[in-house]
Amino acid sequence: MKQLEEFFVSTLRDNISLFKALFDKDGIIRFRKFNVCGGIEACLIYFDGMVNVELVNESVMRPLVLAKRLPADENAAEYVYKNLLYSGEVKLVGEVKTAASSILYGDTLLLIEGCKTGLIINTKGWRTRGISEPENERVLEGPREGFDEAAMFCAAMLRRRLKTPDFCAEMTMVGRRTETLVFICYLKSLVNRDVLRELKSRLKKIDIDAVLDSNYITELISERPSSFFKTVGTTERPDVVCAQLLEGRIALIVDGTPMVITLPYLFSENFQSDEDYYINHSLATAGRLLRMLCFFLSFSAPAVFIALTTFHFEFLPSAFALTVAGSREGVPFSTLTEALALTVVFEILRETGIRMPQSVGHALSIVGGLVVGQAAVEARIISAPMLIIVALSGICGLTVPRLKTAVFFMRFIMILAAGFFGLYGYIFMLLAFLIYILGMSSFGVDSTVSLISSENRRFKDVFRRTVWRNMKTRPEIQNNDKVRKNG
Amino acid sequence: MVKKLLMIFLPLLLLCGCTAVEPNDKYLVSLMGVEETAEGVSLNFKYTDLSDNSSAKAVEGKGKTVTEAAANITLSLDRSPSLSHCEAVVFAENIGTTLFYETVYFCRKNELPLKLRLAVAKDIKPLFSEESSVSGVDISEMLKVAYSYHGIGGHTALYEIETAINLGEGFALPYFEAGGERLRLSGLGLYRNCAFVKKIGIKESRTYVKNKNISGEINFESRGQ
Repeated sequence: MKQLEEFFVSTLRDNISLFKALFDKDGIIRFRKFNVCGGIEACLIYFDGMVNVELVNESVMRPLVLAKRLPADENAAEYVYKNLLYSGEVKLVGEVKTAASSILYGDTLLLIEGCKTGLIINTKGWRTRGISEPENERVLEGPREGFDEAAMFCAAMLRRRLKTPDFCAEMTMVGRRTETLVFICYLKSLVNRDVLRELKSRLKKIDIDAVLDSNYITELISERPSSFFKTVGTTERPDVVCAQLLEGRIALIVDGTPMVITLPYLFSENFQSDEDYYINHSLATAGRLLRMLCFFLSFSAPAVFIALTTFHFEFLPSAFALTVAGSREGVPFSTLTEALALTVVFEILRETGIRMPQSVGHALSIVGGLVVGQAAVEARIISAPMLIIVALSGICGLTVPRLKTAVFFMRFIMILAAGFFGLYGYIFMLLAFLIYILGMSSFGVDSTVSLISSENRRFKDVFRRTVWRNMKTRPEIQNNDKVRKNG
Repeated sequence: MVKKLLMIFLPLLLLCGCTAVEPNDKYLVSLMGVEETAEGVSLNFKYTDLSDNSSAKAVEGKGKTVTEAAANITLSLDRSPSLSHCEAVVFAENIGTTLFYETVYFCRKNELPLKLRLAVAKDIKPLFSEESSVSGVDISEMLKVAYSYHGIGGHTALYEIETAINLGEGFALPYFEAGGERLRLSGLGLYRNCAFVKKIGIKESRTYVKNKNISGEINFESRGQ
């Protein structure tokens, strides 16, 4: 668009024509012409719905219309900037491109007859969802605030918590067409400079026409975008982001989504809950260990059950073996087919439950889980122990939502490995996954650095959540100021 | 790379899973009985028939050796018998050294549990008759109770008997007397060099100390009678 390369001229009509050509056929752009001091022509350009109309009327229109004098020359814009406008954020602009991108972000452009510069006035006033509790990260105790879709407000929420000049929110744009605003937030004295440099270089390399959600950026900047395991974290909670920043991590706020990216991401974070730091440390530790057990059970339970019942039946206690064999009497499918089919059915129910309205979702889970399950067992289509095992595996998987992708795929892979090779297949795949996890890294930081250390102090926030009194140093990922707490 | 991996794993996938057997495609044998006959061996299995309301059923196989008798049983059944959950083996009093040794070897080769309980009975036929509902689990439970009450029944695990055989020591097995549907523990059967020597009653059996063999050191004849 050649108009974007141009500069303002001194004729108001030509400047307006420039914008009319630029936003040809756009129904929401507004051109409001009026006279300043009752004589000099001026025009306000803004997008309806993106500005606070009251602010435009009171802080821009009113002082200009009621002004007693205005120099009728090229300095009129500067005079208005210095003497007339009530708005807190005003800047002079000569380039059409800058002015256009500003009004696209909710600012108002003031053009005055005879001036080669326009005035960009901050009148942003689009409606947002507002602060609400994040649906996916609910806590019983602790802050209830969640981010909303406006990046500027999200950054302000962090600023409100981190009242230090050390906090920095660098602004950048990503996406050729969407020009999505992205804030790179970090604490200057704590951030790992190598990670920051790497992040900026990866962001710079992004060449995509639209960024509508943080996941676009997540996939474009992570080392292994097709991995089952996350190498970049996401959260909707400002308190979590603040805690991450205080550990030397970096947060990326993407405009248009409440999901804020945090990095580098360690594997142990998958088992940490936001609530761990707001409840008693022993309870938090117990919960964390339980989540680790659940993760293991979620992919192991069906696989081990298949391996034991079809390949290593002698491992089962006699009474249990008889129960399993008895329950399978009359079932037409093999144990492997049964496990695969039930796992698929569970995933279908889970997927449907998420998409359905909450009231329908409850009914669906009752019908799907209880009625259909019970009927299928009674009709001898499936066996009861397998139903219990798959349900247990599914429920365990839900306790680690950050690993839902990994659990989903690992469960199927493990079932197939155990179904074809027995316990040998299961152990082989387990080792393969272990090797893969140990080889993961996030922005040059070893993802399992906190898990494989022999130093006891590194475990203080991994398997257990130590009391705050003993959390004296920050994690290994940052390399500047390691002392978190003195005394 | 993907093609190479497929070339390796696809045949593997096609070849694997051959040893997988569904749990309901087996008969779980809970009790095994061995008897010496004029033709050779009579092997009896008591198993749970899950297709018939989990009822306990018995089957007999004959042959010159234990293995041959077991093979004949397998041929006569519609599902393969699984010995991995066998709880007890009962020997008839009449079996000789060779057959005893052969049976122990058979148990080892067929991966019967190490904690398998061995016992001896004057006649094993009533145990495997149509009317008898006694299973290996019943015998195992009875021996546990007997051990806690009388101190007998604790020396019947397969591996302990094997050790005694290998060391050339004597050993004792719980002695059952079966009559109709009832099964009664009546003492210990004493073995020396894998051959049945004599039976001692409950009272005498109490003097039989756990983990101590009876190869000459304990003279039951002078104590009991």
